[in-house]
Amino acid sequence: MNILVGYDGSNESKDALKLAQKHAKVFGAKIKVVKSVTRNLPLDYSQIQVAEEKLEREIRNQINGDIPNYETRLLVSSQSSGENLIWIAELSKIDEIIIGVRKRSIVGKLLLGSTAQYVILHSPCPVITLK
Amino acid sequence: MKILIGYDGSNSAKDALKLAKDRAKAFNATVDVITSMVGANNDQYEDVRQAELGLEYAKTLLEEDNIHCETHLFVRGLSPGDDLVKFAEDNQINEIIVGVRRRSKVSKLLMGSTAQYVVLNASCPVVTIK
Repeated sequence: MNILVGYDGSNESKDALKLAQKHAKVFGAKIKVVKSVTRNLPLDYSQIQVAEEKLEREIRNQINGDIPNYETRLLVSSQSSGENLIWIAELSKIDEIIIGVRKRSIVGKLLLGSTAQYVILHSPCPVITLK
Repeated sequence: MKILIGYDGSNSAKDALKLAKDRAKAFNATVDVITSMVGANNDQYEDVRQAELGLEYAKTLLEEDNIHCETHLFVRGLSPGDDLVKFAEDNQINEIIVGVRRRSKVSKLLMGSTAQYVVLNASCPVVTIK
């Protein structure tokens, strides 16, 4: 079984990672942590490399040896984060997507983040949201 | 662990039920199944009967695999979203499972109001399936 975590460094996404760890233990699953960033032109490879290493380090620190089976992936693309997550989910045969949902403001309470909504409606597999 | 599922007899709710079954087995969890009717005057006896039959079906399906299951039919004037969120809080539920319907081309862009309400207001993780 494969679990996909949408990670953007927010507290909600850190909680999502924790939940994924718990589920990975129960299901004996593999975790894939994906962070999606918008592509700026011109592409600066050294910057991307720095970002990749930073993501790897962050995730390693948070998982802290708790589970052996995980990988991180930084996606640099002109698509939205939602589209990227679905693309990865279809490509890597993901069985479960875990994402955090933010409620930014009083107005935002009424509106679901666009990424979360896109993922929920287009995902090929069950989606777990937490806040 | 306790799993709560919102069941309304729709196809996506049936998928949610199957998912609940798998997850309950994996987590060794108990399952609560809720059907919520607002309870307006125009609710017919037939509709209530239908909801009861749906819950019985859910119970049979879950108990096939020896999963401890309780069913609840709420007719207390609350919206389905409210019923789910309140029940989850009152009973220390660890996970809510809801089906998401996409009825038409237009509503593809819009999420069902119940699913959206639950995702935003639940105190625990919410699993959506379509």
